[in-house]
Amino acid sequence: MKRTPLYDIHRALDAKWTEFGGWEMPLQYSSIVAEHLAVRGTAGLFDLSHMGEIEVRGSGASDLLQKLCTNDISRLKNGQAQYTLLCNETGGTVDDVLVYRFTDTHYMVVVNAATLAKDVAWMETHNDTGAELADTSEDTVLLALQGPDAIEILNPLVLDADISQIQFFRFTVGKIAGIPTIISRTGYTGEVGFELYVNADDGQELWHVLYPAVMEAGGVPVGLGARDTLRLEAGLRLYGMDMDEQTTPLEAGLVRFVKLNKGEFIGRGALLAQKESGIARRLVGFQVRGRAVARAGYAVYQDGTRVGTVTSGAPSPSLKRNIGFALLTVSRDKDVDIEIRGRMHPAKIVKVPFYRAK
Amino acid sequence: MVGLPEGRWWAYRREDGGPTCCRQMGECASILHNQTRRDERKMPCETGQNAMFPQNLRYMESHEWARQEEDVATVGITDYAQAEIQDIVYVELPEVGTHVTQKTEFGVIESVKAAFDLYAPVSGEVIAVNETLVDAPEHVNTSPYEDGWLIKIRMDAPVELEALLDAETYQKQI
Repeated sequence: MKRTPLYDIHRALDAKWTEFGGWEMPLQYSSIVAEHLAVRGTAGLFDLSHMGEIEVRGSGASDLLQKLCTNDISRLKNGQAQYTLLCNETGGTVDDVLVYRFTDTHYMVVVNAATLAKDVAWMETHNDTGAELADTSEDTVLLALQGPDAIEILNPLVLDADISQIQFFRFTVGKIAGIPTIISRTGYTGEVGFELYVNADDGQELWHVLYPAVMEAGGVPVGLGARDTLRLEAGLRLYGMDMDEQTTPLEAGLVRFVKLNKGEFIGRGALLAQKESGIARRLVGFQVRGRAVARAGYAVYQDGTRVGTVTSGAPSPSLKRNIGFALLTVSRDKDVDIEIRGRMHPAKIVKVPFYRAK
Repeated sequence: MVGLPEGRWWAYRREDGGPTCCRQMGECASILHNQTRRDERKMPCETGQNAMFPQNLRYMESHEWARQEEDVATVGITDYAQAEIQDIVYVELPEVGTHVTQKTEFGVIESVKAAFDLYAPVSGEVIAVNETLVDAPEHVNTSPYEDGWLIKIRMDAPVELEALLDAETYQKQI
């Protein structure tokens, strides 16, 4: 299994470990609930170096990305990031990614850990615009600082920029205690926060700069366990669980990231056809009425008929309810039953996000 | 521009000077740079060893305990198990009157992350379940041997307890 450059730090912090996307990653340091609530209440520091980064450069970069992405890359300004899907010809989702635009000839695509190799191959296969592709994942450490106190914690450490002025889904290149960093106002928690990209050689040092500041503010280091419950509460999909190559972004409820009128892109024909013929399956949010936890893979019924499957499910530490996503073939107006260890447990279909930052 | 607070170690860092180890500044809160604190944390607690696994209980390899009072066994999970499971949010227990069989599943404990099966230490009839766990499943975390008990079983054959581990043997196998 792969380890991030911060592995020794996590060991020293007595992390419990988990396997994720081929990486040995911290699951938790203290407890998932404590870490989750710290991010909702103050701040949390994450090592997300398992994520992949692919640089796209050259005069063909914009055209290649416009062809690969469902969202409209031409809307991006320098210093702006965008959430988008990569689709295959049948509209299935190859990955969900962030595209950062530095200039119109320099982008960075941030991809899921488990899909990095597939994404690189996918981009290379379709690269007929002469764009230069470089997988810089090994050279990159990604830390995230998330939570309502994130701005207050980070701003004193950045001398050459006022990071409180960075808008959501914008980024700047600045120095955190002297370390050159891509400071991106993005995240996967539903909170205010930053994702911080540095050269892998500076990764440990960046952690040592941020960790005391986070702890002093009452925050904690956060593992992938709480990252999962945070993203679920925020209604954010996880690739490989809530969608995959058999699921289209329309089915996954990500229509606002699909710009069918932007011009041709891979999967557009299939998505257009699906939109016209009707979307038969939809990813919906549910809340179990009782106390049992519905987890991924559990069967979902309506009036005794199987109508789908839970794709993500967990207890919500903030709401103290059991929530999740399910991919269903039926309308969202009626309660469903989720089979948990052989027994039916009623659940209501609810709007996502389940939780909004205060 | 936001001014730097005075006297903070990162303020001394030269923009061009490369890493200045916070250890040199002697103020670092990072646990990695604080060997003493880290080692203290790792030090086994000598007095705590037996307290974690009471001598008067019998234990299963699957981390349940049983406490005998005549022909009734009170059942729970060990301090080690609750610490491993953490963040217990739901406990699914059998109804009173159910018959359970030694070393077979009788319920489930759910943490935020996963579900864990519970195995009966003895065979018999369930004569009580801990109803307080419906509203306060965290009792299993905070008080695994007292408030966090799970069920009481009227034993078919108290001799079954002899097949279970004593505290010392259990402690050795975890």
